[in-house]
Amino acid sequence: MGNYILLGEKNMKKWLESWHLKNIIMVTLIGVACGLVFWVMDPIYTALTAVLTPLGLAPFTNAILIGFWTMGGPLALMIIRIPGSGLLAEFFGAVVEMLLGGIWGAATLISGLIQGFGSELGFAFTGYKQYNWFGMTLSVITTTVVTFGWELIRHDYAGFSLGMITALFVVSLISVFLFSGVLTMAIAKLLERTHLIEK
Amino acid sequence: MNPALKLLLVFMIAFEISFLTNIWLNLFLIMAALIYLFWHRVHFKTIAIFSLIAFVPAVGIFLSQLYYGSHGLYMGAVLFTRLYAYVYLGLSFSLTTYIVNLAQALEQDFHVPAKFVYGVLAAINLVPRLKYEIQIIRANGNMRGEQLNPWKPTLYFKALLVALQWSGDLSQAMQSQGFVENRPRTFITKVVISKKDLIIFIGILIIVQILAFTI
Amino acid sequence: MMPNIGVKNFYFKFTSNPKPIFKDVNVTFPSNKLSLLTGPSGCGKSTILTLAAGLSATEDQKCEIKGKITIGATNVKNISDTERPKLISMMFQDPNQQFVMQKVEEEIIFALENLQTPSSEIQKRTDEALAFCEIEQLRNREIITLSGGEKQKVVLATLIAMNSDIILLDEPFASIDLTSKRDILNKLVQLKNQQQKTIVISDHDLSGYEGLVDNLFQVHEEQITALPLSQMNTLLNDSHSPQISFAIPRQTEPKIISLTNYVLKTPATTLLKATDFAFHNGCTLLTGASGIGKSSLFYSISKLKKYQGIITLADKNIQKIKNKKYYEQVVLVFQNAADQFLTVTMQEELILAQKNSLSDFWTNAKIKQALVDLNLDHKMDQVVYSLSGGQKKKLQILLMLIRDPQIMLLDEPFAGLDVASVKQVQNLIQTNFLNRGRSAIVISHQIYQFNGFFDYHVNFANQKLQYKEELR
Ligand SMILES: Nc1ncnc2c1ncn2[C@@H]1O[C@H](COP(=O)(O)OP(=O)(O)OP(=O)(O)O)[C@@H](O)[C@H]1O
Ligand SMILES: Nc1ncnc2c1ncn2[C@@H]1O[C@H](COP(=O)(O)OP(=O)(O)OP(=O)(O)O)[C@@H](O)[C@H]1O
Ligand SMILES: [Mg+2]
Ligand SMILES: [Mg+2]
Repeated sequence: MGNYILLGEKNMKKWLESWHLKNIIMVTLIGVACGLVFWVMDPIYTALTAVLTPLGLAPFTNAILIGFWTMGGPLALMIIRIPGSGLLAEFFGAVVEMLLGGIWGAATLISGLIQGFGSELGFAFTGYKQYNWFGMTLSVITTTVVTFGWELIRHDYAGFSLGMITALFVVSLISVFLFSGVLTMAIAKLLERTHLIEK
Repeated sequence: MNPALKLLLVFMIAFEISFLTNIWLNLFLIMAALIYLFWHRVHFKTIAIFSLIAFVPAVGIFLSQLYYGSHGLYMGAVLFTRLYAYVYLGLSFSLTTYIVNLAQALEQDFHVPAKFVYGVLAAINLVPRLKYEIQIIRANGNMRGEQLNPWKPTLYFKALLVALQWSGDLSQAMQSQGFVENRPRTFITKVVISKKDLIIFIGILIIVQILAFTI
Repeated sequence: MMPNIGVKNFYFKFTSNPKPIFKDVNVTFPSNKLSLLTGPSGCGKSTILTLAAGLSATEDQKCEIKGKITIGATNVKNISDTERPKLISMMFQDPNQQFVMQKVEEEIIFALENLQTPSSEIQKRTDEALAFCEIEQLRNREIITLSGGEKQKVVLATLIAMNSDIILLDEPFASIDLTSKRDILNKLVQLKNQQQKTIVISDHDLSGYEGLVDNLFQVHEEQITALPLSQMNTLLNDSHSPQISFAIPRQTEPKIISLTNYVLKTPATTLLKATDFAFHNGCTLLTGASGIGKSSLFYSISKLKKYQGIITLADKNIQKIKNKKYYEQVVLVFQNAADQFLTVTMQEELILAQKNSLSDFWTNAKIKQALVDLNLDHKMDQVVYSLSGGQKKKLQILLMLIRDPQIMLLDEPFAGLDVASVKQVQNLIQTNFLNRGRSAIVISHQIYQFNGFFDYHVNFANQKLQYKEELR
């Protein structure tokens, strides 16, 4: 999306026109579906929290699972392939979650935007041309950096020791790589093979 | 208040407090949001339930600051109150706003293209069914002897196939209801941003700034 | 003069399918008439209606089209998006997938706003449409709380408010009961008579139309033919199968699944009450009117829908059995075959099924033979989602047979299969499943039966399940 905006109003209009109703509904559902699958594994989340919280290691719950939260973006980009689909998937997913009464309200929206922006950035670096492992790897890196930066501010990791920050970052990176990278790529491959998605 | 303006306000405040470490501001926002919620006759029980759900994560970040942070107790308290500020700010939007009014305000006052507004709105109707569908997909996995876990692709793959099917059907149904992308629509209810809305919006922002930078 | 729908030298093929759906079709759906379009599942009813309605989703899929469809004198393709809704609008099969707004009235208003109706007129037209469908009391109801029939009435009210000349309805009654069906049909007749509308309904179930439709069209072997109305009654009688008799299970007969003080509800109504009912060992046919709750019953037995009371499997409350264990014994064969697939190609599906089989019964040779019997053997590398409806169904049943559970619940396994395929499938189930002491409960509208396939017959009516010796 970035380069589209930079190229001015005319392109912005062109970009808006490339979005059709079906894609908009689809991108929203992609954003929502990832959250819903997460809801299926609620017990895992609870168990992880129960173990880590008393130790004061709650941020690691977040870091371990961050890759699940950020799946919507790269998945939408791989499937819909319109610049901005990653951002919109995460953002619309967050909007729906908020409207249906998720507890994090406005914070959800902000995280949605940040995560979407992060996953978008990697593909933007390839000029939205490489919907492959290269684009995906870049996206994994940008997603981790951007979302980690945000967590740093929001949960004030800055006060932690350098070792702890590094550990959190590495765990986040692995999580994003495995779930938002490898897993997402596998899902996209499966969908591609069915020929049900028009490019 | 105009729903879209209210959303913008909540969003801006939530964004701002993410960068501030001001317990008093957080407490003030919590109080203000709670008063607003009670004033709108939101049930105490509803608020209590949400408060309880938020408790575990709130304790989680509090403890991690206490054990490992450089300003343990103080920073822990800031994050604890900040988290509740997020929750109540969010609730004071979502529990007092009707989705359709928000859609109308975004369309009429903020000129968001109708296809985005109504596309997302239509998708919302599918969410409960998508949730159910995911349960069915999982059960089917068991029936076929495959455990479908969130770290394997199949569950997502099947859910997205369903979503793909539905989004085609739904956009078709909308088209046959006369919805044409990029064509202006008429409105039966005009939603406006009144002077009063603007004054409240700016007023609240100013109060928040004063609190943020004086105490 | 209201426009009619003309189909001229029409040819249609999905590029991904080997065979065209329509070939050289010439037919006219006359104006100011109520026409019924019938044909087996998968014959192309939805395809032709969506094309006539000019809905783009069919266009962007890759397909080959020759000839044309006209509305009045104009080719559908040349009608602008703005003009189209005034000419033609459509109601779809699944009433759950056509709503945008939350409440009934809002939905109608949404459609009128789309048509750029002056805001002063919107309320009046909304009120009239609600009044016409006699659903004023639903005005402020949330759409998700409505029953299937009520939802369809809301869609109908929307179409009426839009006031298009032609109204198409694609299997609109699939999920609603006969009374609601008659109700809506009467409204349509009234609409045709009072406002000179042209109406086309597609349906594979011909019940409930007596005396209400003007024309009957049948899709058959890539053709659409107009049939004289007299033939409709013959067709109706055809769909009534010959008298078949069934045994009534004796009390001593082993029970497989029992319902005790069981109540099944939807948010709107009670579907079923059973104080003490049992399904017995063997193959049971379950019949009942459309929308009565047969699928819902299966879902509750499959632990996928809430119910009150107790369901037991071999004297054990099913809620006390772990899901993984439970689904090794009881398996639901979904109405929609594609829901059951987990991978991409047929080969992959079969490998997965064999890997997860609960017994050694299905050897490679047996599977190969079954594929030949089902006429699927040359399709190994095809993507399962691109198989035809009937092929999907056959593959789905084979996959579940290979899994080899104790009990299978089959929801409409024969829908969309021709008589020969039904025979193949029944044979397969009989020799490889039932004859090995396993049990099945089968929901079916079409009751082709070969060599005593069913042992018992349970009828579902008036919120009750009852064993019947006969099938009417
Ligand atoms: N996008 C598509 N690509 C390839 N084949 C398709 C596609 N959509 C439908 N088909 C096939 O075209 C045939 C006709 O489908 P259609 O939905 O029109 O049938 P139908 O008569 O409405 O059936 P039903 O009674 O089950 O609704 C079917 O065999 C179906 O599998
Ligand atoms: N979640 C739900 N909310 C509201 N109504 C529902 C729900 N699920 C099912 N129904 C309604 O319950 C009734 C029974 O549905 P079900 O699908 O079980 O019928 P059926 O006997 O299988 O019909 P068919 O023969 O058409 O498949 C229908 O009127 C349906 O609209
Ligand atoms: Mg159809
Ligand atoms: Mg059914």
